[in-house]
Amino acid sequence: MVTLQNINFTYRHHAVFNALNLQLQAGCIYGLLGKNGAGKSTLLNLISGSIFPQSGTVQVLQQDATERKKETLQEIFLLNEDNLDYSITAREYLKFYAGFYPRFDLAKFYNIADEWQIRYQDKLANLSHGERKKFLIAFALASNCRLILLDEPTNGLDIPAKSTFRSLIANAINEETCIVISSHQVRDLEGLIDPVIILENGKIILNASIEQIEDKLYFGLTQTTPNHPQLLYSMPIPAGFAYVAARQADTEYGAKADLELLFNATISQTQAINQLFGAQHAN
Amino acid sequence: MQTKTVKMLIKRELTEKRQSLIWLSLLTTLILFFTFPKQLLFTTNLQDGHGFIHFLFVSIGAYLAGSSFWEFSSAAKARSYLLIPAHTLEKITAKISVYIFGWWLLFILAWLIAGTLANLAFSTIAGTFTLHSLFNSLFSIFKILLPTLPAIFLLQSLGVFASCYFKKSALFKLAVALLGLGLLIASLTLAEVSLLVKYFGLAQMSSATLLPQGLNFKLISGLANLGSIIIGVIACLLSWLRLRETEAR
Repeated sequence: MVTLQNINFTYRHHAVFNALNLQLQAGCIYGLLGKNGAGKSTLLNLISGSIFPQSGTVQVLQQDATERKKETLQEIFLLNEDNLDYSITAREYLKFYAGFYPRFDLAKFYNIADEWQIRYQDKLANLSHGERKKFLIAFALASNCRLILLDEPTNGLDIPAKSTFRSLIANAINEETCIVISSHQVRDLEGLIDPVIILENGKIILNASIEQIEDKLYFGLTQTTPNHPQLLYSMPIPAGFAYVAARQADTEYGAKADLELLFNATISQTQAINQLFGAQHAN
Repeated sequence: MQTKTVKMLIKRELTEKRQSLIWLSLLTTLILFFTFPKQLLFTTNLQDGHGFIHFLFVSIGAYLAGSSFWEFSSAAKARSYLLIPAHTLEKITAKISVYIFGWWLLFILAWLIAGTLANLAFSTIAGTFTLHSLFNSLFSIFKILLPTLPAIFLLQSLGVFASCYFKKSALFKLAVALLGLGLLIASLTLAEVSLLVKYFGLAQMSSATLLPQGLNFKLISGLANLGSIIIGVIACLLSWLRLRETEAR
């Protein structure tokens, strides 16, 4: 669905991406993780076609994203709260923008909006940060676009809204759809995303499915300091330590993949992770 | 290109810019209302106020056109606009419809409202109100504006292009660019004239010998209007090309 080939992108004399390659398939919810300034939003903007790489190609649905063809844009929704014009009401936004998406499902929008009690009669400026996020998430899902790019969607959402968000996203995915969720709040995406892409300083340092991660890594809990021979990263938790290590044998079964541990392990032990997952996972 | 998409883009534009459009319309109506008494009470041929009406029409029109791509003042708004699922041609058509032709309609509407109110107020006071004079003054707008339309179209098209090309202070930058271009043309003309004076004795020639006999000014004016329209269309095409490669940075 999305192919980025040999992307070079510089912003204000700072090289954000250097020879970046990435492929995204339909039917997956990709988790794009990274610290602030890792290049997550830039990557989403490149895929959407709102910015162009200095060199390399971005193909979305077999079309050059930089051409911004109407047919391609009808299949892409980039959720970014900053994009909103706050001077109009949520209802007006819906009225003027829904028509641009041929498969927009108003009933679906109102279902989600009602569940989240979105006040769409109010000006967007008068909605809270979380309410604007909810409104945009409802709009993105109701657009029925094949490629949905969500930039920090859970920022500002309260706990019940985060649960609803997870179930909405899980229900929205099908064989023709691809959802990319960028976040630095990894806990919010636990059990939702698969595969996981971790960006660090404009480089993809991990791109693997949850199955591959659980196949290669062992996530464990211990009351004492972990002494696993292949230990990669550990962190103290109230009951002891949570840790991640390279899995030694097929018989070694650990807990489910913990995204926060995985993220920290990948950031701190990039070389070891690269060796475990092979060069094809990172660029 | 789909008419439905263009209509949606126009509606979006009118909604998002409604506040500034309403204020500009009110301001124009108010100014026009107060220019009417002079025409109604002191002149019979409505000639005296034309210069001011042209100035109002051109200045606000140029300001509006120069702010047509208001989204480009911020990267986030530009991103939102550029990702609207519509062809670039549809987007530029909507912008031109609102910020060039829309302004013409708005000005005429403001004139009709201001004219009716002014006629009712001032002519009644002066005791000169007739329906004939009302319609005469209202419909004079077409006679007043028609000769200036090609020139205003040119200026507004350049404004739209500048707004698309320069992300901030488009009108100011356009004015600087036009001033620079004017100075360049003036300098070149001066250089050419001084060369002609020096080497071909132009100083001895009179205006009668320079200008051909029986010069058709109507034809020249027609050609100038045609030129304005052609350059205006070219500016719109350039805006379209520029929009295709604009990024939300």
